[in-house]
Amino acid sequence: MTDSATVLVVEDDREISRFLSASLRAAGFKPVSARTLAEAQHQMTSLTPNMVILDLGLPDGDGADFIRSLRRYSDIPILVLSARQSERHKVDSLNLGADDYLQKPFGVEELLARVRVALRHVRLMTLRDQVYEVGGLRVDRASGTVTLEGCPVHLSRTEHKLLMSLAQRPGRIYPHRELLATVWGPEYVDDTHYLRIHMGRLRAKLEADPGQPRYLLTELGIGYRLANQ
Amino acid sequence: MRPSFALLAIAVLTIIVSAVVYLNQDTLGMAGAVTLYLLVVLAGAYYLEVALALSLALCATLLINFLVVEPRYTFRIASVESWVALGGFLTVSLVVTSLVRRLQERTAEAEAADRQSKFARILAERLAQETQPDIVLTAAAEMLQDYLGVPVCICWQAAGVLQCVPQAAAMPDHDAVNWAMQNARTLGAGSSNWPDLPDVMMPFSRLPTQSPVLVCRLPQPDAERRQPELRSLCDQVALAYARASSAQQAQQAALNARAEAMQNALLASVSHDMRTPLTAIIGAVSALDSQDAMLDQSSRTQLLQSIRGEAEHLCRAVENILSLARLDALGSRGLALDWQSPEEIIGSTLARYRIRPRPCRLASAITSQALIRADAVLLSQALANLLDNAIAVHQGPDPILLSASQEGETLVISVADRGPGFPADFQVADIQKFRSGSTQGFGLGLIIVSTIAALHDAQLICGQRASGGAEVQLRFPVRRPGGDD
Repeated sequence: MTDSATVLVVEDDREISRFLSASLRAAGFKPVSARTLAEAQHQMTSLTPNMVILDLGLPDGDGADFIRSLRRYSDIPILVLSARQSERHKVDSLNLGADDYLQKPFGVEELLARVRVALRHVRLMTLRDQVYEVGGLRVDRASGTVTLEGCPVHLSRTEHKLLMSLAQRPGRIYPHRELLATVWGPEYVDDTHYLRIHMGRLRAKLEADPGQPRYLLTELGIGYRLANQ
Repeated sequence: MRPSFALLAIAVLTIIVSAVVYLNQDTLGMAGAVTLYLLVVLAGAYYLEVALALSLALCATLLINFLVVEPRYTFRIASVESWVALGGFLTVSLVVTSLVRRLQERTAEAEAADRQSKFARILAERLAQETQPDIVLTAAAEMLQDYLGVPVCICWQAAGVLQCVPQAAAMPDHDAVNWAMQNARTLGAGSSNWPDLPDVMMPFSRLPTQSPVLVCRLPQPDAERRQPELRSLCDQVALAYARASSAQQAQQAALNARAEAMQNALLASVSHDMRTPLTAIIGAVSALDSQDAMLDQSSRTQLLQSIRGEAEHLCRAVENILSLARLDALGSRGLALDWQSPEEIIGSTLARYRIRPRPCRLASAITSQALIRADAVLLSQALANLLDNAIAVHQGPDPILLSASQEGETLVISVADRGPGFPADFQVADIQKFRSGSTQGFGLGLIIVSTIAALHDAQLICGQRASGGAEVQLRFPVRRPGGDD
């Protein structure tokens, strides 16, 4: 099960690294810590961890380069730790292939929730399941049907395309520009209002309380994701 | 009239008059001939150079002698009467010539003075519009160039480097400019210092300073003749420059004073917002550390919860300080503006509160789907500050209400609690007044809310709820996205 998964923690600050490892161990994971990128590269090949928690500011290089090189040979989930108010860095690392980010400072509950989301995502991927099913929402990517509590939901073409894009990797954050490019086309990457309007309509059709979404989650200033639990 | 053309015309006129006098000797007589030649002399005095006009007067006298005075066609003069007439004509001619000349000079001087005073007025008006010292200099150099019709530039020292405006001007001799600056004396063409230089260099100040120097390529003899005019224009530019410089200094001083007052007020607020949670955290941690054996489970839990709560306050304070510093430095350039849905911003702000271990009762009511131009992260931070303030004072069974609604062309986001409300004399303007250090602070929370509201062109209203408690509103103008589908 996921609870015995190996988690590589790449973090140079001793205190933060200690707190991460202790919390992960207490929750039943097997944490492995690396203080530098070189160490991390080495452990990636020798230990084959199930996921990576990566601090972007490391002493011997840019975390972004690590994501890039990792994505060349591995699909494992990457959770990026980043400071507040650096939305650009978050979007950049998501664009490079990170799955999620966690804003510093964070609590144990938040950390474990994100780790579980990331590992669940892997399980979904390994099943090669074309069906997304969380709560009462069921999205069949193969046939393109969407049902809510068993009843088919009628979506407009754009809404449908938007939902299918998010359902490709539930749990992964899709940055605004990426969604705009996929659903509307590359020339629309700056027209965020299209995205807001259609996301609003999609929520009105799928969510019981659009103000507290259950499925279509907002990452402020970054993008959207489809809940995977 | 061009000089060569004037000379030709006068020569032709002289020949015509001589021909008339020659052909009508008997009818015209001495008086008629003298009158006609006097007209020629008058025309010459008006249109010709001084030397030529005087030669013309002499020539006319000789022609009268040759054509009219007996014996004719010789230069001999037979009678005393003729001597008197010719002498009289010559005298009158010379006097008239010099009088006309002086009149002309007076007129030219008056015209030049008029032109100069008109230009001085236009220059003063133009320079009065400028507040930046270097723009004053650029404008002055360009106007003087147009007026004098020769290349003009103004040089000054800035951080040890010689600057020169207008940009297109060729940089004049460094040593000469520095000499003029340091000795506060005019040099170059038309002056007693370095008269061989092609340029006139006139320092703004008559005291040795680093004041600017006016450089213009006036040729001689204009350089000497127009020196007083140039001096008065230079003084005028110097005055405008001094005014702009001192205005700029005063503005800078006011900015510095404001920044200093703000820093003091901010520091007081920051030290309060950070020291209070730190005190609580250190106290609780030291109790857990040194009195562990004496504490029962419930006090231990309480202490841990208070550490967590205070750490979260500390975190918010740091966030506020960072945002404030960034927004102070960058202003609206620090915003990442985009079309945002208030529903999403309220939703994710509330979500952060719901995962807290001690959730408080929060409710949202969203009745408008209008989009606003906003920085989502900052707006969420503003709402979190309002929520923190509300949670600190909220009482009773009702939830704290976060809502988004539309009133005409205004989108209203509000946070309403059931606390004691704002003091009776509270005014929103006081929040920003605090920033200039004049009143007691309201903590960083409201300052950041007010700053974020102002940068979004949103109105901040702090009011009372009719049913009791406080309501803070952020009122955004609703704009339509261009090219909505």
